[in-house]
Amino acid sequence: MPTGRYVCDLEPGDDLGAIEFDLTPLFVREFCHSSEMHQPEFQNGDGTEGSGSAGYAPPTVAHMAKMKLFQQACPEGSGPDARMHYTFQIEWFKPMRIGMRVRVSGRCQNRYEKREREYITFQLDIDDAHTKERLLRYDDITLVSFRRKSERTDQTTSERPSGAA
Amino acid sequence: MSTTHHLLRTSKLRLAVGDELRGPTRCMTRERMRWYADMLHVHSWPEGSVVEDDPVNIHTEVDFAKSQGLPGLVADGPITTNWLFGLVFDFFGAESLTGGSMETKHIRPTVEDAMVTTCARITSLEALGDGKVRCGLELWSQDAAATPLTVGKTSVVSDRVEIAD
Repeated sequence: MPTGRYVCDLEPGDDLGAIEFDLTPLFVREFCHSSEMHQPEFQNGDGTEGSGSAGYAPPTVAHMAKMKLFQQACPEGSGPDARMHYTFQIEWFKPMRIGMRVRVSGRCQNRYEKREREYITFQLDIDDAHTKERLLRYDDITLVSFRRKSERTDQTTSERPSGAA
Repeated sequence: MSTTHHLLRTSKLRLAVGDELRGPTRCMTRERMRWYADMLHVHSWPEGSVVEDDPVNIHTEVDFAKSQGLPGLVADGPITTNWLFGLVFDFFGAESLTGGSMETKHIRPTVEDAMVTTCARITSLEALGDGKVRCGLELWSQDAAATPLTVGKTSVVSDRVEIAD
């Protein structure tokens, strides 16, 4: 069930819910290909557990996990203004193997203003969906709009942004 | 995979605090921005979904980016974060996936056609006693004028590092 219409609607304490998905060879390869991580550990995994060629997802795949969670929690996208990524902070505890099913959950933690710009902070967890073990924690600070408040006289845009940051 | 990268990831590394690692210099073309934006847009939906619309955001549409107060298209921050992780992975190998942390802050927009070089500097080396070394690194990306665009740090454990005297 959606939490907000747009990501910029979110308030501290909002629960973004949880999603589960498989780290399929296609998903990991597409992510790494577009990120120019061409290392065979990421590109050539076949997801066969114990085969020695299962392959891994890099921990930075957390960004993609966030976008998948946002897609469910705020289905209309960023909001009237484009979000911009400000900080990306991850801590990982175990490798994420291709073939794993992961559970991603998240919450909006804070919202604040600094030098006329508004920021939202999020925290996401990625767990092994079967064993419930924590694989990664992701803290994110997003700029709600690059334009300062005093510059945002026109709050409407001709095109609604999608998938930014 | 280039020979250099293969050798990097299969050889022992003798490192000292202060050593600097450099990745390739890449031009942040609009095609590179679009590559990542399209991947995010498609894969934010469940695998197998048919996604027919295009992403409209500050990474793909010049007019929209300008309406947001930006000079033109800007890269999604995680692109350079991924490049930085790729640089670390090339040096420290798959062991680095077993545990670690990474933090990046996008302090300036990476604009279209910026020549971006990823860089890292060893800030700490700690022998863990089992043939593994915990490595602390300062991270940054810079443009052709050596102006930092993204800054950060990471900590990884590697079994391929020897601490230089």
